Amino acid sequence: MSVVTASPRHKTVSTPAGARTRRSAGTVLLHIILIAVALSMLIPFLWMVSTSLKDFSQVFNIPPNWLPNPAVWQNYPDSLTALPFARAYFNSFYIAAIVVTSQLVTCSMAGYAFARINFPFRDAVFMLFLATLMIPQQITIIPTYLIMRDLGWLDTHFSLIVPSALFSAFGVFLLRQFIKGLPEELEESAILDGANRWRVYWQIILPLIKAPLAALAIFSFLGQWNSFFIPNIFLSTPEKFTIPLLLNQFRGLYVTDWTLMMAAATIAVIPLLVIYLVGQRYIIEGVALTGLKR
Amino acid sequence: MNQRRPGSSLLSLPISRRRFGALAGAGTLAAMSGLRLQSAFADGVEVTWSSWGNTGEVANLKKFTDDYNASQSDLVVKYLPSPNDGYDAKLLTQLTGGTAPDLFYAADGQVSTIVKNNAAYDLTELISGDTSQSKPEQFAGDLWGPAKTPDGKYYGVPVDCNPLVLWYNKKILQEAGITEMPADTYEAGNWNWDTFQSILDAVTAKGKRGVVLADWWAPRYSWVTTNGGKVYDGGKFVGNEDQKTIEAFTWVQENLKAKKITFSGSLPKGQGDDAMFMSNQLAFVALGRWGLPLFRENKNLEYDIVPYPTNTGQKIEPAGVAVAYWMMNAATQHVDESFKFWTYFVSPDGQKGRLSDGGNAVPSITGVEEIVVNDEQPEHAQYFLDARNVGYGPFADEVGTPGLSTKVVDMFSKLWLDGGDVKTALDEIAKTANDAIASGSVE
Amino acid sequence: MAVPFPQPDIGPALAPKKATRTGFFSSRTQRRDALWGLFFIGPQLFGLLAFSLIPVIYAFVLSMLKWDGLGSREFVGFANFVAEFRDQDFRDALSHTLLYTAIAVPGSVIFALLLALAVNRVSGKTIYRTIFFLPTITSSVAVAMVWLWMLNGDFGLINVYLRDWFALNPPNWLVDTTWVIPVVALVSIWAGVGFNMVIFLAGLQGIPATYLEAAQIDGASKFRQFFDVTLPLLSPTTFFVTIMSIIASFQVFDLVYVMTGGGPGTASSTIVFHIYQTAFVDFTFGRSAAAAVVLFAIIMVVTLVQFWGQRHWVHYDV
Repeated sequence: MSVVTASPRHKTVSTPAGARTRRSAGTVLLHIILIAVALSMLIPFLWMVSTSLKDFSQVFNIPPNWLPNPAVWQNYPDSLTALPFARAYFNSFYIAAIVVTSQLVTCSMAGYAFARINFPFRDAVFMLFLATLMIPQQITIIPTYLIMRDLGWLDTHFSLIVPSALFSAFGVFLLRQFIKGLPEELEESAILDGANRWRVYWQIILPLIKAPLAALAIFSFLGQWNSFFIPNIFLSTPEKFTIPLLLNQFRGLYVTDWTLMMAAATIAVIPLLVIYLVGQRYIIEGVALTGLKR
Repeated sequence: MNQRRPGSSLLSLPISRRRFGALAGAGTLAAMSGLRLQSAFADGVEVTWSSWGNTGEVANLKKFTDDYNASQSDLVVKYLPSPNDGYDAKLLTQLTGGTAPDLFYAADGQVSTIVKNNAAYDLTELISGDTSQSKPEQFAGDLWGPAKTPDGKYYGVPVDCNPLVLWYNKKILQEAGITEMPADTYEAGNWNWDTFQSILDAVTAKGKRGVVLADWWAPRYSWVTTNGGKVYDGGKFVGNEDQKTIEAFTWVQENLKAKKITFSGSLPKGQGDDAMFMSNQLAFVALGRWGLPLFRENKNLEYDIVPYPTNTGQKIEPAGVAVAYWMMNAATQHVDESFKFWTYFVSPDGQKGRLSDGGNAVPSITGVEEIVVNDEQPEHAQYFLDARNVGYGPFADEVGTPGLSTKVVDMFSKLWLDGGDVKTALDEIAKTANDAIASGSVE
Repeated sequence: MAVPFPQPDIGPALAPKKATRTGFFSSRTQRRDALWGLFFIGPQLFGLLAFSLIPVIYAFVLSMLKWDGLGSREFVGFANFVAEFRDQDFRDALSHTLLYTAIAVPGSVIFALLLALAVNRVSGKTIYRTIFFLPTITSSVAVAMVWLWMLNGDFGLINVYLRDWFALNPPNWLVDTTWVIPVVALVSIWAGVGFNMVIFLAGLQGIPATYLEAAQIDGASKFRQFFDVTLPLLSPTTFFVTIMSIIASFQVFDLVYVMTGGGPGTASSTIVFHIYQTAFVDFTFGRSAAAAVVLFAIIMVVTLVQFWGQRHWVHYDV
């Protein structure tokens, strides 16, 4: 009865000709507002870059100057050699890659179960997942530390990878919501055709949740890349450090090396930007389903 | 050590890296030979130690460690630098979990708890023994603070120190019509609150700020002790009963109200006094020697230092000294070897090795004063040593009672921001402090 | 047209019946579902039990102990809770956090939704989307520093404009005890909007254009289209964003730590800030855990209320 068609993508709804002139005035206004907001969003990024190119003595000029004069490009190579960044980039990358991949799989599986499978204690267990989000890290760090110590994972990357790879209440919640919003008829018809749960998940659900999966990938990568508190406590050997730990080392007890820190931080943003640019295309072009006749 | 010398940073980096590589190689060879020759000795004993620090400091300490490893073959010392933020939390977690390094820096606020819970090694015997290169009497001033318990046991030493002095901006003073610079006034024996006040008046009349009162213990209590007042005595807070203390705080508050002194709590975080000082907005800033690497790079800044002005008629009175402590893990597996490095670290040679070449602290041990004086800047660097020799570290009663430091900071902040009555505020602080000290923690 | 729930062919003898009073697994479907459920949540459940549950239980146990982080632990029952509620710092932190959340959550959700809608309709989507996401990926230190400069009472951009263009006499925002929390909340809205916007964008993609077309053909105005079609279909996403924002806002720490350090005095101290202080600065871990348990209870209650209330406004079925 239900026919699923992947009709050609409609990005915009066609409008009658007369409405177009009315729309363009509104569109211009919209653009103005958006540009204003966008500018405000750019400012910290510009400050970061501006500081990274300054000579140290100019960082705290009051009032601040935006264009460094002279521009100290040397800060960039200096920042990379001041600390073992090459190693840290490698560490951050592979940890994030493993965690993201694992989360995409395990969270979508769990999200599917919570959304669609009626198993005992389902809602209670879901609440349990959410409950873990409600206790701040500052309290759970000590017992977590002791667990890692007993596992022998202290000062190894296992302590960073395994817990995150296998558990993300955020990811599970996100995907549960999206899957719950999908029309049930798709699965029903597949089950009618004899597919088991795994095939439904793999072949029906997954393709439909590309958008939230891409979003999760972005956030998950972001979270791992910028994570400071936990890696700081678990890691001791500098060769194992991730990027945020090194960035923080530009802060001394008395004096912070702002220019180098901002240079390093600017460089560290680039992979995030790349991941974001790649991921957000999936978010927009994710769903192919646009026609559903009942 | 400071890598930020203009012009030299590009050249010095590759060279220091090569030297580092050679030293690391030498260190490995030494360790290996240590393994062969000293196999009876627990096999090339590894001693770990950790501290905080920014890139320059860490690089310096790494080099120091490598030099040490190259110079002897009994032990291999491994340095584990830790980011500055969260250092306390990390150390505490490590101690709880039994995975802390053999030796470590500890901030003044943590020392007492570590000592109370037997997590620090009792160094009393070792420190006065034959193997010690850093006996208690060699340390300057009264910097022990919480590292020395009331019954005379030593659990740590000041790793180095930073006596508080007033840095002043020559340009601002000259533009305000001051002809005699504070250092000269001090030399002439006239550096007191009256002369200081007159400078503040002149400077603020020209639209600049006088001096910033930071919210931690040293800048605050220095005004009390330079008036001859007491803050803690015999294990109790006595500031509310000591007339000189009340007088000092009242004087501070009057200046705050007249905007001659600015309270740092009324400045947004991050727009610190050092920033204002460097952009020629602030005449005086109370810092230790850590300001030096910051200021010396700044070509627009003409500065010098002077000890705190006194109100007692003496040339100099005790002022606060910022201290971090160097401790040994009570659970260390290698006491003798760890102590070897521990004592060298704070010995005259060790401190000289760490603090030479543009350091940002003052040695806590006597005998190596030339490090500070022989540096080009500031002109009157000797005053760091003068301040250190009469200065005092944090009050054990305050930093040793968990929660009290923070509470006191908050209560003083309230007094400065709201402008209430000084005696009333001091009475409240006394009650809070003494209750806390008696019960062992803030309620 | 609804299709009756399809049943797998399992033979007449085991034809599925509704759950009877004989127990959970009275039908094979239910047992099968239970197994499938376990399989699908398996990895996450394992992670939860192994790494998350124990620390959470530990926090609850710790709230009843007196411990300074290193020494021995002593059972004190509810004394920590009593002490915390008597502590002015705790009560202040609680009220600050509530105020902060009351501003940050609605602000954040609405602003992100508006941005997502706006960005979805205009050209140059990618540029806008990227720029709006920039604060989220920029170092939080940089974000905090910029806002510290902009909000500076004397020469910050904001006050300069307020004085020059509007002839107002604005306070020194971050040092004013009344304004500091609202201001920090506004900064956090600004900083986090890109994050929520991305989620809303993902949600908007799940709304088939055909529905909007149909509504338009039926003569509905843009306004009606939004309220009757888009918003309801977006509600699962909105629900998610709201819940996550609530949970995150109640636990705000980093922004406060970097921007105000809890100041002036304790005027911007939040609950987690208080928790960090009582644990790692004051060494009173039991009290810290008690505060955390209170926080947990509040968040849990609010969340449960939301979950219960969702039947009124969240539409999953299409």
